[in-house]
Amino acid sequence: MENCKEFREQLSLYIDGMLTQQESRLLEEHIEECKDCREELSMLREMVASCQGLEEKEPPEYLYPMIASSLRRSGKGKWTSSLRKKWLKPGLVSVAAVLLVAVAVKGIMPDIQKQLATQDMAAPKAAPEAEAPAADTYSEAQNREFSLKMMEESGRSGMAGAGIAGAEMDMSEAEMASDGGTFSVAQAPATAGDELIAAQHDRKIIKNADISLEVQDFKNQFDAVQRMAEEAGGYVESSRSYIRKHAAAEGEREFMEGEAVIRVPSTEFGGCLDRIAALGKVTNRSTYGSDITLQYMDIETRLKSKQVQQERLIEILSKAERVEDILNIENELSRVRTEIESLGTQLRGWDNLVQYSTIRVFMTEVDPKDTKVSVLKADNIWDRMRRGFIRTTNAIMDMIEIIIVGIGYALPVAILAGIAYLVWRKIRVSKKE
Amino acid sequence: MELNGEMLRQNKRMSGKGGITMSAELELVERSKGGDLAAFEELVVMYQKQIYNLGYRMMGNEEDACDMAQEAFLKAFKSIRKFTGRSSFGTWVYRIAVNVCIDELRKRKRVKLYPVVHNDNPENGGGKLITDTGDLPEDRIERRETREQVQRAINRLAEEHRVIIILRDIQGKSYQEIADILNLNIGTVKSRISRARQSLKEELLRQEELKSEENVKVV
Repeated sequence: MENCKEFREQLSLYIDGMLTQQESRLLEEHIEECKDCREELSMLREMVASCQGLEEKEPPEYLYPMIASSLRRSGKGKWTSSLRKKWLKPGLVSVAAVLLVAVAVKGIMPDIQKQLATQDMAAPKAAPEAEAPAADTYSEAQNREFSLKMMEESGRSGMAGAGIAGAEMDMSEAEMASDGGTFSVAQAPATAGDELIAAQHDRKIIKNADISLEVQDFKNQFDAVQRMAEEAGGYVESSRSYIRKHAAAEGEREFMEGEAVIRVPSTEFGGCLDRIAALGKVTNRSTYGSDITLQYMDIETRLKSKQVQQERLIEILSKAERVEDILNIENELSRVRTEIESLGTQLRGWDNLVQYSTIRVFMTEVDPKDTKVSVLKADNIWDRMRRGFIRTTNAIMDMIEIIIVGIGYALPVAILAGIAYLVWRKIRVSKKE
Repeated sequence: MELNGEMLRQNKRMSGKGGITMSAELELVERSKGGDLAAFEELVVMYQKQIYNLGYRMMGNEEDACDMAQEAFLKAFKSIRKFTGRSSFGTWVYRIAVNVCIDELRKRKRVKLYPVVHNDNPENGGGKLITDTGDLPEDRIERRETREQVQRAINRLAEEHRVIIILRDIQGKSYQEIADILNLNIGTVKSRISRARQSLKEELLRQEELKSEENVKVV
């Protein structure tokens, strides 16, 4: 009885003749003895027989025309329908996704947008692929960039304007003449009358020059600049030199870089600049002058009037008798003296600037190989390659980071859209039903 | 075209289940792959009856059977290029049709629930099922009744078992063919056939019980 279960499972196979000869024989032997299994077998046989008795039904007349017409329909629109099914929907979805991302980026992340726009050619390349919405984003970004620049520029000119305003205030108030505003004053508007007066006066011009040099022997050339200043009757105002860290790799020669500000008599300005330029390869050279004649005259006039005021105060003081008067006059006198002093300082400062021109020298040491043909240095190349690789990888990582963060921003919107889509589908399906 | 179809039908009848010869069938398949609709229509003529019957037994009514057959052939035509010829075309179409039916049944189940069938007495092994004796007219009537009963019971089986019973016991497919159609290995097919028959038997017994209960009530 125990093994009935095993045999029962074989009955189905036995009916279909799927048992091996040996299995069949064993089963048959069991059936001889076991009444239950015998009944089970006959029941199964009957059941299978009645299943087989279910006749094949003749399909209705309309089946074939129905199939044929549906095939024809599909054959005609085969490409368009498969295109629609396969590409249109995902296409729409992806366009929507791009739009969402664009909206998210535009709305929440102006800084990324800026980065995208400035990532030299990356953005314009991506734009046509990402279709219209992305293109919009890009141009938007560009606009933003542009307006930023505009703002920067206007900011700068605004500052210049403030400088002018400051200069005008200087002239009218004459209180803070000694501090600041001396350089921007140069741009102060001048009327024709002022110009005329200026022409009669000694012209006061501050001359400046910036010069950048590449040299091969930094130490000697840098010293030469300082020597030149002294030889020309000027002096070194400041100087500093340092090792150019960022360019120095292991095993590579260390390069120097330096900046010196020298002052030379304005008469020596041109000659000195030329001599410095001769020390190496000039990469940048600019000179600029400020005409401070009008401001100088103004201060000079005020100084004179203050001096007259001082003399008169001394005169009055000598005649004063009441202590109160004396004190008041002395007070006033000390105020005028202070003013005279500060105006004098201002004038002396200007005199110095006018007499001694400023030359700012930037000196960079370069490898002679830049000027000579040299053999390859394998280790150096390897190193540079490694650095290049790392740099590019980092750039890519940055980009990926931006993209991932962008996805993060778009995700909540995308999830909402997904839920909306599911709900819509469910509604549609239930309507169909 | 019409003549051709008729010839094919005759041809099929003559050569039994497999239809026309394999090489002719393969040629039709190749032409269908090239987009020849007429060739595919011949294949439809060859297999529509079998597919329709599969649909009829699976879905339980004529209308759904037609819809399923149409969809199955349409799908087959659209993806005919994916047919590699590893199995016979018939097997391949069968697989598509089975999937179409099962998909549809599942979809329906998801939307509206069928009454759940409880197997309240699975241990019931005994009981007489069908009285099969002589060839009296009475018996013939009984046999028709039995057929209806069987179809009803099949309709109550789980899809997985229903497919097996239809393929094996109604349409008489071999174990190997079933394995190919359902993409199962022979061992699985064997055990599944056994289990499907078992659950069909239980379903029939349950109906028998219900009927006798009704009789009691009437009396």
